[in-house]
Amino acid sequence: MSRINTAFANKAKVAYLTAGDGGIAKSVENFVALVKGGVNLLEVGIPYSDPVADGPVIQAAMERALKEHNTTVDTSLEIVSKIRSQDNQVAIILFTYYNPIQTNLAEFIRKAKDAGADGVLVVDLPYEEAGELRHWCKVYGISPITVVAPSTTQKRIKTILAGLDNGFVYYACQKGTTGTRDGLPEDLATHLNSIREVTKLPIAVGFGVSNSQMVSDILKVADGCVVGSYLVKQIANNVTPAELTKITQGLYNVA
Amino acid sequence: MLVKICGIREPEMARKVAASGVDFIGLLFTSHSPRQIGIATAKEIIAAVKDYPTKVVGVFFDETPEKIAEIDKELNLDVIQLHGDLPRSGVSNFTHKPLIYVADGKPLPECLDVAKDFILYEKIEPEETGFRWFLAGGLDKDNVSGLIDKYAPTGVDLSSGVEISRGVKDFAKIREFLAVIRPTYYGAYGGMYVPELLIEPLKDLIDAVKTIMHSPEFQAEYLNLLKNFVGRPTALTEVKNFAKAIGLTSVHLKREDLTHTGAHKINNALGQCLLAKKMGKPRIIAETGAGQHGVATATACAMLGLECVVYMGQVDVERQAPNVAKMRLLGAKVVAVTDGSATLKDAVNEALRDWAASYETTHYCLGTALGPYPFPQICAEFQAVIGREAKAQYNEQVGSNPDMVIACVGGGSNAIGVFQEFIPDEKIKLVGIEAGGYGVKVGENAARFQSGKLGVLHGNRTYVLQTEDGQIADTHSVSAGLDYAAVGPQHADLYATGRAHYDVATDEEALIAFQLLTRTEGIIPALESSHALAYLMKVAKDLPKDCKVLVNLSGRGDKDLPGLLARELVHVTN
Ligand SMILES: Cc1ncc(COP(=O)(O)O)c(C=O)c1O
Repeated sequence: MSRINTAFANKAKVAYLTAGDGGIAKSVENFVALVKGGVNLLEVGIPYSDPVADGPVIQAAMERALKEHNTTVDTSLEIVSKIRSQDNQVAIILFTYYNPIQTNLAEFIRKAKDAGADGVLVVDLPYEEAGELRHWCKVYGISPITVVAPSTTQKRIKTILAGLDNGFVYYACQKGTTGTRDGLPEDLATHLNSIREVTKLPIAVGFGVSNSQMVSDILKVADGCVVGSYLVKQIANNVTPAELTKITQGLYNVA
Repeated sequence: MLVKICGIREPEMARKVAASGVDFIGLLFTSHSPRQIGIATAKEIIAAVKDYPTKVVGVFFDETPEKIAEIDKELNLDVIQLHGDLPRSGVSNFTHKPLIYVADGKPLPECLDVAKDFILYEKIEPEETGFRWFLAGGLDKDNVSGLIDKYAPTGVDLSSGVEISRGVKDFAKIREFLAVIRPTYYGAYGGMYVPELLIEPLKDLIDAVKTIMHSPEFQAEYLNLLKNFVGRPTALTEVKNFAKAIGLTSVHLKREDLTHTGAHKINNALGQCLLAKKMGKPRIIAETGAGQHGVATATACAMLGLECVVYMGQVDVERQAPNVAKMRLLGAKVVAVTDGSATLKDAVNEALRDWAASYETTHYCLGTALGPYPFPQICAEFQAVIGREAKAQYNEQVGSNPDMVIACVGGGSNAIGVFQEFIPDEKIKLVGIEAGGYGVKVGENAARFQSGKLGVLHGNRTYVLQTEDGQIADTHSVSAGLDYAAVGPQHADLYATGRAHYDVATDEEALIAFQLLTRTEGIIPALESSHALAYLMKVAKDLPKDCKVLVNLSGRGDKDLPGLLARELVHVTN
C-alpha cells in the first residue's frame, strides 16, 4: 500500500508547515515533531514571494523562510529528504505555487520523487493547465493532488477527478485564503457527498481548521483533516519541537 | 492540449508558429508529399525556432531506418515520427529519442516508453493505452472542439486544416485554430493560473462578457456614458513645438489626459463597474498603482451607487497622495498594503485574496490588461475606444494612418487600447515603452521584455521579472503605474510574434520628457506617459524627419507633481 493510502486507511491526520521557516534544521525538527504528535501525512509548503491563496499567517512564514533563510525549491526538497531519512512511513506531499517550479516541471517532479515525496499539489495550477503535471507525476510515480473548492460545480468535480486513481482529493472547505476560522461551513457534508459520487479517492478537508473540536467534526465526515495556519502560528510563536508535538496531539486527540 | 502542426516548410512561418505557442512542428522529408523539404531548409527551420520551447519533429513515411538515422544525425531532431510500415519497422533503433508512433491497429511495440513517447491516431479509432497521444486527420477550427470533447486526446495534430492551398500554411488560420482550442490564451501567453476556488467566478465572468457586455443594450449604455460622463471622444492634438524641439515634423498626441479623472483608466473602470452592476454585484474591489485606476473606479462606483474598496501599496500611497485623498473623498475605502514590495504587485495579491472570499457579491475590477482570462480581454475591449477614435481622428486630420504608434506599457491597457485598431495594418510600427528605471539589473527597472523570463504571475503566463529561484523580483520605476513585474499576455504575444516592438525609457529620460512637453505645449503629462515621449525624444534622430508619429498620452501629470516636488525631481522657479 502506498504511504498516502496507509495514512488514509485510518483517518489521515494532515499537517502543513512552510519549508525553511526557521532554517533547514529547525524546519526538519518541526516536521518530525508533528509526526511524533500523531500526524501521518505532512504537507511541505515551498515558500513563494506572492502566495495569493494564503492568508497573513502563512504569508509571514513564507517571508521568513525566503528573507531570513534564503529557502529555495532545492532547499525545500532537501528538507523533504531529511525528513524521509528519519521516517520511512509518513506520507509527504509538496505544496507549491507554479512559478518557482515551472521552468522545468519534469525535473522538479523527478527530484521530488527522489527526495521521498509521495505527492505534489500546485495550488495555482487548475485542471485546465495541469496536463503536463499529471503526465510527469505518472511517469515518476508520484500522486498529483487535486483541490476541490466550495465553488467547484458537480460537473466540474467529475471532469477534474476523472481518471485519477491515486493520491487523494483535497477539499478546501472555505472561501477566501488560508487562515484560522472559528467554525466549519454548514454545507461540508453535502459537498463531500458530491465528491464521493464521482471518485473513490479518499478526501481530506482543510482550510481554517484551528481546534480539536473542528478536527474531530471533520474526521466524522471526511477521510482526513488538514491543519495549516494554526500550526504555522505556533512556529511563529517560537514553540519548541516538544511543545509542537504536544499541541499536535491535543489537536488530533491522540495520546 | 498540446498542438502539433505538420508540414512546415519555411523558417519564418516556423518562427511565428513557435512564438504562438505551438508545441511541435513537423518537417516532412518524404518525396511523396507537397510539404517535403530538404536538409538545408530543415536546418534553417531548426535555427529559426531554437529560442522557443517548440520541438522539431522529423516525420517519416517511407524512409528506411538507416535513412532516418542519417537525417537525424545531420539535424539532431527533437522527436522522430514513424508513420509508414518501413519507418515503424525500425522503432527499436530509436529508443534514445522521443518518438511519435503512428498507430496502425496492431499491438504497440514493447520498446515504446510512456515517459517520452506519444502515439498518433489517424483514421483509426483511438484506444486507451496509457500513452500521451495525438489525434490527427482533417482537423480544423470547426471540427476540433467536438473531437476533443469526444476523445479527450493529449494533443492535436493538424496540417491541411490550416492551409490556404495544398501544402501552403496560413498563419491567420493557425491563429484562428489556436484561438479555438486555447480560448483563454493569446498565442503562448495568458491562461487562468488561479486557485481552483476562482475558476467558477472567472467562468461566470466569461459568461457575463458574452451575455451582458456584448449585448447591444449594454454597449449603448456604455457608449452614452463614455460620451456624456467621461467626455469622449478625447482630442487628438498635433504638438508642433514639441516635434520641432526633438527634430521631427509630425507628432500627434491622443489626449487620454482629457478624460474625466485624467487618464485612460476610466474607460475600463467604468465599463467593468457597469458590467458588475448588471451582474448584480453591489461591491467593487480594485488594485491601484499610480492611483489613476483607483480614482477611476471610485468615481464610477460613486456614480453607479456601488461600494468600493481599493488596495494600494504603501509606497504608492505615499508617492501618489493626491489620488488617495480623491478616492477617499469619492467614498472609497483605501487599504494600504504593506506586504512584499508594497507596490502594485502586492496590491493585486490583496485584491485577489479579497475576491476569493467575496466573489459572490463582489466584482474585482482589475485595472490593466492582465490577470487570469477574461480580465485581459475585458480590459482590452473597454480600452479599444482609444484606438478607434485615434485612427478616425488621425485620418481626418492628416489624411492617412500614422507610421508609428507609441504607448507606455505598465500592465499594458493604454497600449493595447491604442494598438488594437492598428494591428491588422502591418506597415504601422507599434512600439510599447517599459520603465527602464535607473539601471539594467533586475530590481532596478520594470523592463519585462529586457530582463524578464517566461513565468506565471497573477493568473497569467507571460514575461515576468523574477529571481533565479522563481521568486517575483522587486521592480523600480519613478512612475507608480509602470512599476510592476509582469506584462499583459497580449503584449507578450505581440512581442513574441514580432508584431509590436518594446523598448525602455529610464526615470531620468522620462523626467526630461515630462518637462519638455509641459514647457513647449502647455500639457503636463503623467510620468507613465512621459516614458512614451522620452522614447520618441531618444530615437527621433534616427527616424526620417517627416515620420508620422502618434503617441498615446495616457494621462495627466497633476497626480505626480507633489511627489516630484517633494523629492526635488522637478524644480519650479518664480
Ligand atoms: C496615466 C497612466 N498611464 C499608464 C499607466 C500604465 O498602465 P497600463 O499599461 O495598463 O496602461 C497607468 C497606470 O496606472 C497610468 O495611470
